Amino acid sequence: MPRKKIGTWQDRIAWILLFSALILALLPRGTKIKIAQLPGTVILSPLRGVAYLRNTIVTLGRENQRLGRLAAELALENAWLRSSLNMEKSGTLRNFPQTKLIRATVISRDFTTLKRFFIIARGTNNGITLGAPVISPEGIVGVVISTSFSQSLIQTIFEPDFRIAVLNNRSREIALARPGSEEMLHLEYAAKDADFKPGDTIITSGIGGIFPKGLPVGQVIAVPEKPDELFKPVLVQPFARITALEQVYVFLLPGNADHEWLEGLKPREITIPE
Amino acid sequence: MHLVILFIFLYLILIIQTAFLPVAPDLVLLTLIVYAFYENRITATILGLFAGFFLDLTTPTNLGIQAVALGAISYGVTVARNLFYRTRWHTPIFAGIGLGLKHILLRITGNTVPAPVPIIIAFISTLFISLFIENVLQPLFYPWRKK
Repeated sequence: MPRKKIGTWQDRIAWILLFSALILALLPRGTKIKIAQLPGTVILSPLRGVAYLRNTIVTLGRENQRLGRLAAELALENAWLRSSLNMEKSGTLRNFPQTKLIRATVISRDFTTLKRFFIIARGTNNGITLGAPVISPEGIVGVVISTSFSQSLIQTIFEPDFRIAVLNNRSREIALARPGSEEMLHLEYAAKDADFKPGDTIITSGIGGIFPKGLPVGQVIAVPEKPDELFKPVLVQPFARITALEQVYVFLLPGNADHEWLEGLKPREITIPE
Repeated sequence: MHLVILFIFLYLILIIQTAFLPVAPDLVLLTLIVYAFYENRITATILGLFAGFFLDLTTPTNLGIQAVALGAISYGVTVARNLFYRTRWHTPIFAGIGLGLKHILLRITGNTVPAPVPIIIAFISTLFISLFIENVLQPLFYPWRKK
């Protein structure tokens, strides 16, 4: 009686292969590592390439994010420097080439309106004195009302007690600006027949003794007709966006209280003839 | 030529599995099961051994363990496929059994086995895409089967 074969020839070859793999699995560790060196280098090379590519993509992504942040910061700084340059060349400080300014960062605001007061990170240590005008590249912002060693409190143009003497740049009509509603300035004491038109630029008149003459304040946006009023009502939109300010410029005043720009405005000494 | 295509496809699956899907789903096991449904025992076993050997090379100290496991699973599927009238549900059933056997074998041989939660995720995801993988791989076999 012929002996019965176990499985087909394919089964037997498969068993031999599996048995070989089992022997490989039972080899000592050191031998395994030696055996795996060359095949590992050859067979796993695409895998290393993929891993390298993934690492490169991740690294590039992070680098891209970092450069994006850096570009945003540089763009912001560039905008500030450009606006400062414009302010010195042709804008806000055109009439005051000798004026010394110090840049200060806004670090806190009043928590009720966010626009009446704010604190800057500069103080007497940096030469800031009481009553120093505060401006931004767009226009006037306010005045220093309190200082400490490293911080100063600024009263803005929207504080209800704030008043500033202003001038129509076109018609040279003068008035007194006070804060109104909805982030506007109202001009008071403008004569009934004063020449104010929408679009006129309002600048500081220098009369008040705080702000020098010629600093941009805002633009006339409306001159409502009110025949019953004693004075002409004029609405002015300030150039400076107080609620969006991050940095401001503070005038460094000389030690004594006499401001240079008041020199020409001082009344002459009058002697009454006997 | 047919074997070369199967081999290249398996190699690509191995790279994708080890590079992007280290835990789940077990694409390599599914590919080997589908191969084993259509190929002869020697081819299926060799491909299983190669896939296991490739996975073993990533951790050389365990060389041979996964080769034995995947080779045995491939061979087992070629044997078991003749015992039943095949339906479309055989792929997920074999995938589930194969995955269980693989993890049991790895645990017996003292290999690092993932925690229970990743294993459950591997099971569910592997079973979930098993029919899809079978449908993707089937065109590799039809031209030769018609001959």
